[in-house]
Amino acid sequence: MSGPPDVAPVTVNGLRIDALHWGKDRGLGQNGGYVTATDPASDTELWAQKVYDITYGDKSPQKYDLFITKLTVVDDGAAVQITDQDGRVFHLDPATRAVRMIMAPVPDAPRPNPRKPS
Amino acid sequence: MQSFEECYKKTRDQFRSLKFIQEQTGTPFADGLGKVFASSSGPSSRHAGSLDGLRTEIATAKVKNAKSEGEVLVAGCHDSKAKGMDKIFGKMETDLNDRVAAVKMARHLQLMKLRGGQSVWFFSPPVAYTEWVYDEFDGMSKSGLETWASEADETYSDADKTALANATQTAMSYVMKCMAELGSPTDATKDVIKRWFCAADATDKDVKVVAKTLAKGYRKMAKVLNGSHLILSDEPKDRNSGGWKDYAFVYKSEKMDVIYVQSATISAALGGRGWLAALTLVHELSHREMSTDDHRYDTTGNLSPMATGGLTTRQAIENADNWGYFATDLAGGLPASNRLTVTGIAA
Repeated sequence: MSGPPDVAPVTVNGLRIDALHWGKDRGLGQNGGYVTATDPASDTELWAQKVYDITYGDKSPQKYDLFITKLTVVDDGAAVQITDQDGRVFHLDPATRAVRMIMAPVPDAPRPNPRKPS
Repeated sequence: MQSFEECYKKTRDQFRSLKFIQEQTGTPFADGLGKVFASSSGPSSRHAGSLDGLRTEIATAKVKNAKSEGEVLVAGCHDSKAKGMDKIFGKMETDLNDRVAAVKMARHLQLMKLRGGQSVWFFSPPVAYTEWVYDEFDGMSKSGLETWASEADETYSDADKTALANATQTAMSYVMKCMAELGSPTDATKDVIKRWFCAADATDKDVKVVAKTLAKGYRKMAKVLNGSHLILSDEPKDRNSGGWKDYAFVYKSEKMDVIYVQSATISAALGGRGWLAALTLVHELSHREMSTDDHRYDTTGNLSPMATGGLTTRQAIENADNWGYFATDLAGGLPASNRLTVTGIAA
């Protein structure tokens, strides 16, 4: 099975923000959807913050894992913009750890059977 | 409809309750189709020849009558005893669509024999379908049905099926090797067990405990691989909602032994990485037979509890990729470079 590519960390207000891919290892219940903040001087992780929920269903678990693909510094270096594999974009304020979704792509319209009456 | 099992059961009900093939229509379709779907546990390999017969008969009828496949199927499933309003106005019989769907399912179900008396089923519906066949045909007019049931370009090509059959055979050889070695593991086998499942300070007793757990799991997998009910199937809804790029998956609640194989596995099987395709089948079987999780996958590496930042022993035993990689490694199928990358430790 192929896992996600590494995501380059960013630095915001002196904290290094990393995407945490393998949350299940840490008892967080999901792979993807978390970031961690680390003090670069001591290399000590200060906190882990959930950015979005992943709900696991009846299929093999890897079908539901949803990873962060990109971290970008925004708001003049005060916040982080987080993009996931579905193209959704979230905003995280590391000072308050408040998260909000700022963009979700319009889902593809279902592909109707072209021969079936609508 | 979500799964092969649901589709199979509906087809089984169709063949059981309607008996339309022989009694209602006198169609040329093979009499044995009902027997293929007679068991609730899965299609009967003993009667799989009826499916080949059906395909032959459809092909013959197309040529003989100068009709499309859909026209042949609809004509074959049409209730010649329809009377009254239905007949006068040409109103579609209530169950025609489901009857055609049942035969269409049979038409795209195939048994492939493997060496050593094993076999594997393929369900490869038309690639144009975005739903399970009953949902595809639901509400469709007779003329629409004739057109849509003519779709015959399958999701898995013949080359795909052959490559996946070979991968199944390889997976079986990996699992058999595990069963042979794990009963009373040699030092070499213990080294492989440690590599994928044990911390650096694991004792010989720890390794034996792990070996016992592994032996139990691979025995269950062997039963599936060695049986006659393993089905490699397309899942049209997942395929059409972005899932086709993935390797494979199973439905944990599905009772039949179905693995939904997707493009990454096919690419591996066709692209000289049969070991990865076989490993994927073991990975998915571990979800079914041992209720494993996906803590991590291979590309990040460090699957070994001995690696820095690696999994714990408990996590490794719970991790489907560790089961797949261990079996491949023990059987000598894993390239050394992949072993190094994925475990995160030097051999």
